Amino acid sequence: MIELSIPLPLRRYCNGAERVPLEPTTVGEALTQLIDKYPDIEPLLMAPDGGLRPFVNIFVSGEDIRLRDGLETDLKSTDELEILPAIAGGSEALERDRPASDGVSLVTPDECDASSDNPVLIDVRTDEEWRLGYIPNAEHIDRGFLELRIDQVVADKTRMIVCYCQSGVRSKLAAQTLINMGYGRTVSLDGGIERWKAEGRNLEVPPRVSDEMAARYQRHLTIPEVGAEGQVKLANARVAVIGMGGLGCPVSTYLAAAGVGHIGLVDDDDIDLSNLQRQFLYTPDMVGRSKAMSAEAELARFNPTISFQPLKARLDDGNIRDIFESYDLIVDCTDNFTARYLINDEAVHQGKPVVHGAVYRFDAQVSVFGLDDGPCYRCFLPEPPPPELAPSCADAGVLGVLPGVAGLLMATEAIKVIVGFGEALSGRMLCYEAKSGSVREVKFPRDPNCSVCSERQNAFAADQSEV
Amino acid sequence: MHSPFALTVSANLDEDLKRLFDEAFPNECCGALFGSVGRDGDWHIDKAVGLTNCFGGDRTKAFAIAPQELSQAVRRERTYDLVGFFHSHPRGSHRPSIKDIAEAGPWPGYIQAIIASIDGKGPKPFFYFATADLWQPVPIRELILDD
Repeated sequence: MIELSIPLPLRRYCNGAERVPLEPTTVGEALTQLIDKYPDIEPLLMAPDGGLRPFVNIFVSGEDIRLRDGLETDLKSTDELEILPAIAGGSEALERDRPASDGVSLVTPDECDASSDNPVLIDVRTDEEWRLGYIPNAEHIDRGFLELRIDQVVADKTRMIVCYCQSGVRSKLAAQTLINMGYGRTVSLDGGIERWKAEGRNLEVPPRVSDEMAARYQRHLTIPEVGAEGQVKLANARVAVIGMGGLGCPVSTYLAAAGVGHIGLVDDDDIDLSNLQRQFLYTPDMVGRSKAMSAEAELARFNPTISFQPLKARLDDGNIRDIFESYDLIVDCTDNFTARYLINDEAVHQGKPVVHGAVYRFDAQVSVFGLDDGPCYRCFLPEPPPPELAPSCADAGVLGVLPGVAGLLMATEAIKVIVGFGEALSGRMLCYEAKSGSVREVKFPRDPNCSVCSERQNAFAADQSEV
Repeated sequence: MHSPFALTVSANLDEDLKRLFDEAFPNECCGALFGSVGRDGDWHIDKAVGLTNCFGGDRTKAFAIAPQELSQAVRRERTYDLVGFFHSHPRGSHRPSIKDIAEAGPWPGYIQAIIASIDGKGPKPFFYFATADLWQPVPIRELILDD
């Protein structure tokens, strides 16, 4: 039995108990048992995604569980379990002698709608409140994270910002914080979302993830840049992995682990003993079998909640269009220039981005082509190099671990493109050299005269100018 | 958690908080307040324990309590309850800043003390009861020095 110490402000949710006896084997179990006993305490400790709320720290015998296994940290009967708040603050942005929010202007929902300044709406409520519905197109930043995250959401400090909360009290304080940080055109929505609703306006409800998804992808859900919305995007994504060799194995494995919902595995090769030096999905007893089919069997065991479409086929002019039409994103894990140009040209034609990777002896390179107005593979390399300068992996050799390095970077780029966070490696080639352990970046622009993408890019530019 | 209608503090608390203000100056000091809440709802602060200000930037304007140290202090002072926190505003105002209110932790219901020197009269603690959106001052008349 373990006794969980209840912090003073939370005791009223536990019938005044200072300590609650529990019989857990992990920290997560302890919290579940506590919540089963005192359900009212749940929103004070747990975020809707199943993770801990921000500012909640848990210690096992004095050690922060974040330094151990988080909620999965094992408990012994001699352990002491404590919940404590994270505390910070400071005199910066002092209120001085006037109420915090006196300098904040208010706007009504009508004024917000009619504004010609295209304001950014920032919802500063908690996750729980956000999940019940938000103003369409609003960005969510819990007030506790406002100072940390605002620059990721609004880079331009001259942009007009409208903060809102439930009734308009918290958003005035939040708006004052932003004004103090230099976002001088920040205002607060008068009456908050309550008034917005009362005036008959629409709300949006964020996508929900199932309990099983919340448990499996909990580490994603707690990252603000991914969260439930990002996880749902991953679940709905359709990604074709072309080539199930050294690059395809790590790419498909990590995309499957991340919860990408539909993964195409395309390769017409059979497994060879020489593949096993780097293609870790395959074992000696699989030699001679289809890579695509064998990979599907392994990956389905790894994540049975998603679907795979194995295809034992070599891409060619006759089949590529139909294959690509089923996917939103192509990951090029092929090992020859013919395939790369074929993939690039069809992807440009269908307007689909390609995550590219290549390895050679001790070198690996990764980039993203055809993303929005970014360059395509032909902008980077208009024609294939002569064969004598471009030997295949089989001829030149490759350090076995290199495809793993490149493949994980490719999977990372694929996830960034699907979820839409960070800056994709578009117009940039990341080059890793294993012997010196160095990384460098080669930048390259879109070629306005590119034989493949220039026409499509001009159409894209026209579309953008109409928005 | 109702607000404290009577707050008493041990006789040496004032001096301890002033010393912590001076020792950290010009940086902000911070730490935990230990004491008890009686059955009648009266709050009492027995001692202040100074903890490391681990804020990553300018510590003259901001603070963050090192979580591990807080845990160690709670274990060390286990005869008391953790009833609140304190920090200093070396530049003068005794009022909570927006940053204070925004980052005071996830649960309302702790005592928060700000130590400030107003008009150069030397450091002095001001006590508040923290709720979700504001810190209510605990009026001086309810602040009884306990001999």
